[in-house]
Amino acid sequence: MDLPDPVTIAIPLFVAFMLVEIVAYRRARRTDTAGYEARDTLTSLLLGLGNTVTGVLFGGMALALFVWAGQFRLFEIGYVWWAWIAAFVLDDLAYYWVHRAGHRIRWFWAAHVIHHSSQHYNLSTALRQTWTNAFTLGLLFKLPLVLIGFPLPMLLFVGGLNLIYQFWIHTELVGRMPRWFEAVMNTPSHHRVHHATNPRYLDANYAGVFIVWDKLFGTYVPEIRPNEPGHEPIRYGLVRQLGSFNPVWAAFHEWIGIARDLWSAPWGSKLGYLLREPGWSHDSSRHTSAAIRAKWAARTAGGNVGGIEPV
Amino acid sequence: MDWAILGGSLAAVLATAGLVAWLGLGRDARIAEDEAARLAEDLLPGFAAREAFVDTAGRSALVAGADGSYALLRLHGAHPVARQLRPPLAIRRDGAEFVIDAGERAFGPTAIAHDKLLTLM
Repeated sequence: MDLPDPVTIAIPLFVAFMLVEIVAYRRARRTDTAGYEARDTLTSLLLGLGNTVTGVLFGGMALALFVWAGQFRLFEIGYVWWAWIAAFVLDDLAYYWVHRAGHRIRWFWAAHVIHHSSQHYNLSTALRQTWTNAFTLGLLFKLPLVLIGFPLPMLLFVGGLNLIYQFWIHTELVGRMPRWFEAVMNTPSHHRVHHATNPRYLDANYAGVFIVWDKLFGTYVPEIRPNEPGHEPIRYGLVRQLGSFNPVWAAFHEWIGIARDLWSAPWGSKLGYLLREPGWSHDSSRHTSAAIRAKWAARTAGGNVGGIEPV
Repeated sequence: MDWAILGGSLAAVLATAGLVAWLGLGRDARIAEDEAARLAEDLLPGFAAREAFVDTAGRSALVAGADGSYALLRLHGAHPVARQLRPPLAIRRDGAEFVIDAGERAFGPTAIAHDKLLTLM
């Protein structure tokens, strides 16, 4: 079956919604830290454009692997109605795990970090996509779907729908959706938590479309809204903020960091800099998310949360 | 790869970023005097602030830590970024400003206008 690429079809809608969001911030006279900033937007969109180019350059490798693996499929699943639903749900489950690996294994993080490198959270952030996915083993998480026997065009199509769904959740302009929707689906509220660097929110909400995976696998953290006790403003981006608008640096900085660490680390520790979680170091001189949460918990329990007078 | 689509996409990217700049979004950000210490503690895990030197225009700040280290803050677009520095600081005077080098090319030098930074030289 010859199926269109849904992401390509959706691009005009991406642009239209982004323009609506930009105008909404302007009409609200939010010219401070909220919403958009020109250089950040330019970096996000250039990274998105670069992603389409690298997709063309390297996408063939993944496709070739899937076509080759298809000869070992267990079942011959055709284009029946239930197969579309099953493929969409199972593809989202695979996305959850590849996304979780993208945050917990530094090798995978090197590719995914691009998407988190903006300190803004808006619809342009959704388009800030990786250039280097082909250099991880992320596609192996979707290989089981090919081996089960779902048709490859069907898998590519539902994967595209998954990406399209995730576009609209990258916004601060939507508070919470209806309770039933928040219970099942990934939403702006859930995904703001995922992009937050506040210690309480680190390494949470890896879902693509269905938030139920996070609830099932113990990684769900709800957002504390401004009108709720314990609220703190969300800080977006990276634990160690990039500090550069250079898209090439954004795309490759973590790879360069890994290469430097592999070169300088003691032999027994080298693989740890590739396969352990981001922030891990053999001498504990850096901060993993678990260590950051522990320091935060100690600091808030001790009552030392700032309040130093300026000089 | 269709070069016309690529060129059109690049034009759309530049136009969108240009629109954001024209509308002035993100241009009014600054580091306030009473928030520099909290920002340093929020941005640098484990950092405990002792004393904050904030740029008179709110572009940047140097925050002294309880452990003798410093947090160098500067606006990166509309949001602050920080690096933790150990003394001695790479600090020099440039007219009315002090310029501190974080030792990281991508981060760049950071200018701070604050009289009391003279004591750190």
